[in-house]
Amino acid sequence: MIFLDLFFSFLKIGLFTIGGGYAMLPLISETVVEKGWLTAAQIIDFVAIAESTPGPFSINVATFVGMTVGNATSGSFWGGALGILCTVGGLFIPSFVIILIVYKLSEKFMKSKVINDAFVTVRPTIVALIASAFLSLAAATFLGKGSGGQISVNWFGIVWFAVCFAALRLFGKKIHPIFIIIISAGVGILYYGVILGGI
Amino acid sequence: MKNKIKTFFTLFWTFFKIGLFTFGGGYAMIALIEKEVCEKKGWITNKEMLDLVAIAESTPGVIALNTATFVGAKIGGFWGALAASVAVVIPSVIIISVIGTVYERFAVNKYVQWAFMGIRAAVAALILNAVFKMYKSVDKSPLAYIVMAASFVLAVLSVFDVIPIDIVYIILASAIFGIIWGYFKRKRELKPVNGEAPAPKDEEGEK
Repeated sequence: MIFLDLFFSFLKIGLFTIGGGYAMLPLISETVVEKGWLTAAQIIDFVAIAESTPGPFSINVATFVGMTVGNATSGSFWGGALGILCTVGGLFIPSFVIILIVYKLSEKFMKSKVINDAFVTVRPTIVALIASAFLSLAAATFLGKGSGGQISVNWFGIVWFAVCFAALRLFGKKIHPIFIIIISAGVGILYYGVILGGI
Repeated sequence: MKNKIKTFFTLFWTFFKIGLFTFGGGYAMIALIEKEVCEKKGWITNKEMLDLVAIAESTPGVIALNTATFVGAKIGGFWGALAASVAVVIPSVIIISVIGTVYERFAVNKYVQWAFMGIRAAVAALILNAVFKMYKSVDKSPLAYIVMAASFVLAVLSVFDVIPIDIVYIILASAIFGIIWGYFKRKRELKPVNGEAPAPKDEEGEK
């Protein structure tokens, strides 16, 4: 039964990967290609979509896989819906159950000296991790490979980043991140479409 | 009872928005959660946010889901956890089901690509801003600075594939270091030196 197989495959992926979306990708693509559900080329397309749509990356990929496999199996809308339920549900359950357990335990242990000691150093570590995530995103956004392998600089990206960052530092309390994202989508279209004449 | 239902719906709506406007994974989400959950609602402090990210990162599963479940549980118990975690998933499911049928055209659509050039720059700014905000809630002790610097170097080397270490191990190593440090610090404080009172409780003991 392919739907049960989908469910348990994603349950396993959710249960055994630590570190979220990109850590899950190798496991997802391996499983899905091995079972013959999708081709490696389809996976690459999916990743492009998952990156350019809102929402948690791994949930996007799981939805995509569930829908495609479900549709192919039953050929109807409901097959796709059931497929999504299986893949997303499979990812959902381990996260939900484990965190509820951890939450209950943490209520008890947060007051313990040992846990407190651990968090004294873990907090600066997390700040450092977020900073490193910024660097990696900045490198991917601002630098690209031009034709011939030389590095090209995305000046539009750098300038718009600086504008957004300045606005956040100066008026952070008044500006909502959602607003910044919507405006930025518009500015991107305006710049590349109208100013550079891409339309 | 009425309050409980209200909390349930507030959590649902808050995390629905977070799911809808998170581009680019877990860290981008931190900026949104910080705004909605810490600043606007005051449900948790920035410090608790850091603890929560550490827990979400080092437990199995989807980070966004882990974070949503944890915040939900803290504010509304089991039903709160359910509301937040389901809400953060729903936008994904709806949007992908719609786009999935036309996906060959979507990813190469030039308007989508242009919009994303802008969005990516904005997300970078949001994440850097989150770094500054989170930094404020960290202890300003030499210990914290040393750990932050060491973690940063390791994380950058890992992110750019220079050394093959998983981010989770950096968190784990940091936690173990903190526990050992705390153990020796308490031991030292308990032992009066030359019959004097225990040293004052500050962080200046290390080089």
